[in-house]
Amino acid sequence: MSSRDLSSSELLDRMVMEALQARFAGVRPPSRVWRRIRREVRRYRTYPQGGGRWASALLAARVASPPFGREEALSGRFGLGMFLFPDVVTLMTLRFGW
Amino acid sequence: MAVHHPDGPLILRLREGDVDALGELYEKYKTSIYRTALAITRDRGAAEDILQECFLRLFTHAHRMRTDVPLHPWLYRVAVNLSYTWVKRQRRRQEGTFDGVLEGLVASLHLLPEQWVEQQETWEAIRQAITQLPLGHRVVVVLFYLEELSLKEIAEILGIPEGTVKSRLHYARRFLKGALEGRLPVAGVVYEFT
Repeated sequence: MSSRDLSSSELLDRMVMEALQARFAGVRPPSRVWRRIRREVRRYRTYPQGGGRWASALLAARVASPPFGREEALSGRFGLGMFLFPDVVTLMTLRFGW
Repeated sequence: MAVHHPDGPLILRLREGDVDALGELYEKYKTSIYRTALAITRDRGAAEDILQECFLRLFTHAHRMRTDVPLHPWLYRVAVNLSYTWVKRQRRRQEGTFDGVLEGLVASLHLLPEQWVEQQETWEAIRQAITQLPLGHRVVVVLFYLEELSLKEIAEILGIPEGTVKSRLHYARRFLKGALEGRLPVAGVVYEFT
């Protein structure tokens, strides 16, 4: 069907769909996300009491950071890792430098 | 006895702490959850974190999850809520520097250069207009046009009446139409968004 066959509202619908799908339909999450999930699940199984703080810590850390590019995002993520699991070992590392 | 949805057995395995079951669910849903978060936040780092958070919550909340209903509405809901929180707190977003590269990769090769440029400009104008929508409307647009979910599914995910979804979509269309004035063919055509 050509665009001439469409009413303007259908055309608008199609344009919006195309614009979003051209930009986002082909995107895939990088494999590092699954590696991070697996790592955090292992930590959670070791220290389950720390898991409940995932969400708030994640968002707080992201929001506290200024707008960033890719390099800053990486460093932010490493910092974020420290916030995610305030288990005993992490706390001791932070507090006492063990 | 409740009938299991195809995801049900995986959720049962999750309750036993089976990481492979989490991996199977991740493979099944990662792309749709990631692109939804990316389309709302327009930030790759945030979208990755949101995707991660969704599946960590799934793992830790498996004992509360139902096994007789599809999982994806719950995942969408978590992703949308986290995206909401992120966007609301992020006053000024910085567009990803790789957007242009990605769009180049997915560009239609059959178009002439000037047509390609025009198409890219139009698409970008649409995406920019979408980012100017109120957040609740933007989310509906993303779920409807990108994820191609029904009004009923969107209502369920967002926890709002179907009529509200419909009115948000109506408002969004009207807004986008205004923003794209001059880019849509207008000769002899009356816009009706009902």
